[in-house]
Amino acid sequence: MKRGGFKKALALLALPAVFFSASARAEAPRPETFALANGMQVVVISDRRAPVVTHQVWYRVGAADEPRGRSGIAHFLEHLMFKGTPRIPPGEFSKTVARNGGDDNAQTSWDYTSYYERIARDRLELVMRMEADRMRNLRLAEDDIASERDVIVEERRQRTDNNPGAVLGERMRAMLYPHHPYGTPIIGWLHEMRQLSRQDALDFYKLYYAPNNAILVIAGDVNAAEVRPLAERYYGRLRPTRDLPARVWAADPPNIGPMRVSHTDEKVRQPSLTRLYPSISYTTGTGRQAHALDVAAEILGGSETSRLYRALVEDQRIAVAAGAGADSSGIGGGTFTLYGSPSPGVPLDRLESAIDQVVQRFLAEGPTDSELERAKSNLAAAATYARDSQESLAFWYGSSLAEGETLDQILAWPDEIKRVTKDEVMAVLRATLDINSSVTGYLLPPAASASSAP
Amino acid sequence: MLLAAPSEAHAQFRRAAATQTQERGVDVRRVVSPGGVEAWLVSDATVPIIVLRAYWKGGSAAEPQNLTGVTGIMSDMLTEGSGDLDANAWKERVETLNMSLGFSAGWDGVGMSMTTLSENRDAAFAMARTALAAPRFDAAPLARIKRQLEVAIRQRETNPGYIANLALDQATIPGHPYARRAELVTVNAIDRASLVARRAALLARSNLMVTVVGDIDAATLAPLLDSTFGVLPAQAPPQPAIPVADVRAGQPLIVRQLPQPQSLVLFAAPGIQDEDPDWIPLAVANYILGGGGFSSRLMSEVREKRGYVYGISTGPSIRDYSALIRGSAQTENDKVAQAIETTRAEIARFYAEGPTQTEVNDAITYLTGSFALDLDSNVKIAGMVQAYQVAGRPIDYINRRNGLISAVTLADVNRVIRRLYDPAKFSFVVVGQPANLAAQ
Repeated sequence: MKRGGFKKALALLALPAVFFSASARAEAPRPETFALANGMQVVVISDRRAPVVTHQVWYRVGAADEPRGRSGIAHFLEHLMFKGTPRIPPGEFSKTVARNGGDDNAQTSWDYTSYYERIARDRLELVMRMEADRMRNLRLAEDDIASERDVIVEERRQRTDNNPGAVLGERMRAMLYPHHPYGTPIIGWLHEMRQLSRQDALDFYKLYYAPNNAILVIAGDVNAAEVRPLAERYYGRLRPTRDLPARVWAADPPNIGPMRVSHTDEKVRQPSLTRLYPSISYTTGTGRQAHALDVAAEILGGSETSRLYRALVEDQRIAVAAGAGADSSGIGGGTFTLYGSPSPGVPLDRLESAIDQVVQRFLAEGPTDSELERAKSNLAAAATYARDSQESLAFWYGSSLAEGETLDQILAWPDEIKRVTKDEVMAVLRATLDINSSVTGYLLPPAASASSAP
Repeated sequence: MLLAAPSEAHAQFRRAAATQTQERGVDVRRVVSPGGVEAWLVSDATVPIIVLRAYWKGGSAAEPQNLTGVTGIMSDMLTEGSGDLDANAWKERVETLNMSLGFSAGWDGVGMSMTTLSENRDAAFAMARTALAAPRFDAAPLARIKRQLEVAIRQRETNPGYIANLALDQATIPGHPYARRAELVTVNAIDRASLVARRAALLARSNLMVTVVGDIDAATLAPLLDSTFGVLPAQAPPQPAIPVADVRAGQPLIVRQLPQPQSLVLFAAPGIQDEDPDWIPLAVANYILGGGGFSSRLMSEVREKRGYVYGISTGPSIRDYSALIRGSAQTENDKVAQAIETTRAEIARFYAEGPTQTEVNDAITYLTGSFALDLDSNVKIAGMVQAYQVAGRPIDYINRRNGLISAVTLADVNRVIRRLYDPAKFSFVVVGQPANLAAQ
């Protein structure tokens, strides 16, 4: 769905391995990069297979930069960016793209906000002109604010309030990050969303939307020589913002030991449990820590051959699903997840202790050589598969650069994955799986039906 | 002004799009193996991967009524061990090869999807062969899948999409196999013998279609087609006949209560099959009313102007023996009545007045211009080529499709609107706790 962007952002954050990877194979083309005089970074990823381009602008600002009490303003502004400029009447941005055979959308994350158009190569100049125009010339009419605010409220209901699992997940993050802005949902808290104003949006826009706070990523049937004159003409003449605010985010107080929360909803028919641990990320980790954490998650719970699935679903048969995941992107750190969904009649606390036993055993004995090799080669292969889609490649480069990685780090990713050692896996996993920093959540049906299982 | 000369730009673009299609069209070749297995192949060595899609006609709609769900379980069980490898060993082997291989059951057919790095090509095709030739259907994975299904069947009780679609099927095509679902009792009745029988009924060469895209040429593919699919019997047994559904129009409003703050609204009217001559004009009409994202009338009226929804969309929805025009939206319980009223009013206006020539031009420009966006990766090309193959289109249809759309006239679109968009023909289903709205 249009402007359903932030779901996609969450997907990116949840599955870094899929996008995080240029192939190590020699034939993988290296993206071209250059900077404009006003500080805007440009990356061009050539793929000549189809006569189309993917054009994206990534701003180094997201929900984590919102003023306190204005949750959701980054995402609301993302919606309002489609409301026009002196040159583009309200509602005409997307219609103009469509009238030229293209698609457009945008997404908001905690760390970044990005806008994109996909269109025939001979329409690249049109979308660059329009995207550059709205970087500096947004016009907002009061009339457009109220109806669009209703739209984001409906978006919140659709994504979160209608879904008991999402409601629980939002509260678990708020506990995991009691003060850091990652504890605030990207879409915003409902009571604050309802108060967001035109001025809030414009203040945020004026502070952060500038060429020196943006990255241009273009993938598809072009090269840097073709892009450069256009980028200079449309983006190069935009005035940079002096004294962009530093991104300093509030830090969390020390942890107080394991935290637990449960959420009961009439709609829940199947209980489940999730445990979150704060972790390092590709930005906050050093060396190959983040790579090792991705490998660890893959072995522990990334597939149907993983430790958790095999022990709990296949062997003990006490779960219908079980696994682990590393969200290892994030300027402010990542999140490591364990989860399980019990077989009929199995209480959640029994499944929880069984998960703990699998994890403890893995921490004691470590992966086998074949587990390690399988996980590493599968993650690295995702790099080759990602090359099939210019859109995926553009998203992966754009998000990684917006999170502070360099092109060299991105390109080296598959090789670094292959270099991960058993000791690195165990060291980062031991540091991450500290129960005293964790939040465990139970999603439960109403009490009457909780015992109805055979 | 940015938008100073849109019509001129459109004209240019339509020419440009046509030119590009001719110059850069997708080259689909027919490959027939020595053993007679046919595949549609698009060779492109740019990225070192191969995508294979196969499809067998005959799906869940044709399964025995007392074993609903058996086609889905059989399809899942094809990747739960084969030959010498039990489920775990089999999955480890697939991971070691960095490939993916899966089967899925639809109403009208079983699909297979495989992707592999071209460097592992032969080993990957060999895994597909063992899955087809010698699935073990072991007791342990069967019990696990049934346990997982038991949970899924309980979970769907509060899934608004499941509830709404079932209610719509039961109201518009009552008694048809498409209105059936897998149930606990039928799933419990499924055993190894049911899987063996279902596989024998479906997986043959006579009802098989294969699409291959990527880093492989015809000479390399041909023997692999034989080694992979030649293990199947030549002829599928006769399938039970599925009746063509007589879709009921204009059913009374259906409301299903579900405790949640926002309601799901589905709406549908009888549609047409993709071999109907009006299929292409329908694509244009649908784009204008509700298929065109932000450019559609419904998106403009229901979301942009009134803020009732985050999204609203429509589209033709076809199964082999039933055809609908379908739409969906989600809105706060208090606004459901207004959202439905606005939607009905827009359909009525569309029916009474038709679109403007500009709307038709814009729709054609989008539908032709954006087609290349759906063909910019091997995975997307495989999906599109397979869809045309399964639909019975000629092999070069992918390069003719834009020309057919460009030829659509305002009169064509008005004809299809008068034929299909009578507002009285639409049925509405609401799932949630809608205010001021009662089932009729």
